[in-house]
Amino acid sequence: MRKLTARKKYIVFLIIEILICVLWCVISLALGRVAAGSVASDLLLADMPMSMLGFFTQIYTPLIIFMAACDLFTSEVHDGTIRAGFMRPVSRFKQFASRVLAIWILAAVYLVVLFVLTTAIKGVLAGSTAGLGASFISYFLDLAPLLVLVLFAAFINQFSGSPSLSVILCVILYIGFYVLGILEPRMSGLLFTGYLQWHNLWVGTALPFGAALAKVGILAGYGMVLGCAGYYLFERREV
Amino acid sequence: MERVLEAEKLTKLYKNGRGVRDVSFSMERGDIVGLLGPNGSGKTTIMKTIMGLCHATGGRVTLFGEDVEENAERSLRKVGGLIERPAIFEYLTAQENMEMAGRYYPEVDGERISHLLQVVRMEKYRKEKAGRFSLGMKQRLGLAMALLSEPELVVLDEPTNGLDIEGTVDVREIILQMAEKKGVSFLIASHLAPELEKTCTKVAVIHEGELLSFETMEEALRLNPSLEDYFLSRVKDRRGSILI
Repeated sequence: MRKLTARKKYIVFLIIEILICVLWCVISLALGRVAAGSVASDLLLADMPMSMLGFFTQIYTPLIIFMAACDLFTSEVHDGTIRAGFMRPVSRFKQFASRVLAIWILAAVYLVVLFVLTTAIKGVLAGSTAGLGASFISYFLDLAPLLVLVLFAAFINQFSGSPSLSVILCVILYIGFYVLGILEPRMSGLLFTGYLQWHNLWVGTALPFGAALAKVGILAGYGMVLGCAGYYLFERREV
Repeated sequence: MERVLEAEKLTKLYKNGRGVRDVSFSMERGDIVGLLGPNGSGKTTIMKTIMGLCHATGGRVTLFGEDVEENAERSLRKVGGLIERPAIFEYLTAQENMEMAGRYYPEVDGERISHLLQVVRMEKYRKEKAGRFSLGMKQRLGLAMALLSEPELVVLDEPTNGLDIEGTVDVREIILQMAEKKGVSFLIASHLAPELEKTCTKVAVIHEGELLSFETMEEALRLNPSLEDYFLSRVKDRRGSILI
């Protein structure tokens, strides 16, 4: 985690996240003014925590995850610093797991900041605290598919020795899966990219137990397969 | 004497056919063993396999009785290493790099870090980002990181690479003092015979992936005026003549 926090770009991206929220807030207020009343802006701001969550879990946070995975895996192999860990009395499993965990925590920090900021904006400008619990649960639930996404990025990062290629590969595959899920809706349920808004399955309309269990199984299956495959390649890696 | 390292028929072959074959030798406490061989002879491959950076194709390596391949976590507990270039995070300061390495050892504290930075003469650069360091400074920092856990065996690959005369002498002094006072064993790879001659108690000659000889420095220098002559006498049949 310290390796990630020592890199200024993650602080910069956090600031950008805050600016995006502020910009959204300004646009909402401006739209309210254009609509000649405060109703429209209140509505937009009241829904801010949930509408921002969709954008951040599907676009912004995945990009952060891909960069962080590249920094902790491919970049370290590329510049030889991965040896700093490999030559120490720590198993490769612990090293793999700690890297995955660090990236997941980083993603969680981004979501926590987003939750606090959007909730604060909603409370102050829209004067509403309704749906706070549901928002919190939604943010919390969306951490699950992000872990699978971290494992996916960790897996992809075992194939290339070039940091930039690894990021590009992650982004292209992610976009490919995502677009495939849109073009072929039947595939959406089978691809992990279709579950990034995991809260939609649980908050609001409840799914039948069997269907929910199947979706949990699919996501867990992706997590296990990507985690095991990524770890296997990491363990066999020679530097 | 306690056996700190044992390589038995160690084989590591890469896809291009290069590597090392059937390398066997052992080290005891306090030994300073020099791996002498030309570039590409397999010195680094041997060291990488010993440190668990590469997986052996055949044979085995044990460190303090623990198999590296089976249990790297336990076998590397008393080992420090500097292989090829130092594994330094350039976006961290010298101090932060040391702290990062120290996280693996609960006994390492700020005092130990300061002491080692003083030993390698890097104390005044502790707050500077490693990215601004010269190769020699990085090498000094890498050496400090290798010694951080007070290891009983230190594996050094070309430790004087990039160092000036003073730096080279410093490294030699550190090695000799640690071996003498604390009984630390060193495995040092180099293609510089004079440097190994001044430092090591035993020498292993590696050529084209094979261990040609392994004996005490005293024995090696008994019939040869220098380690360089000893090395040339060992590889003379395998060495082609130079065509101009």
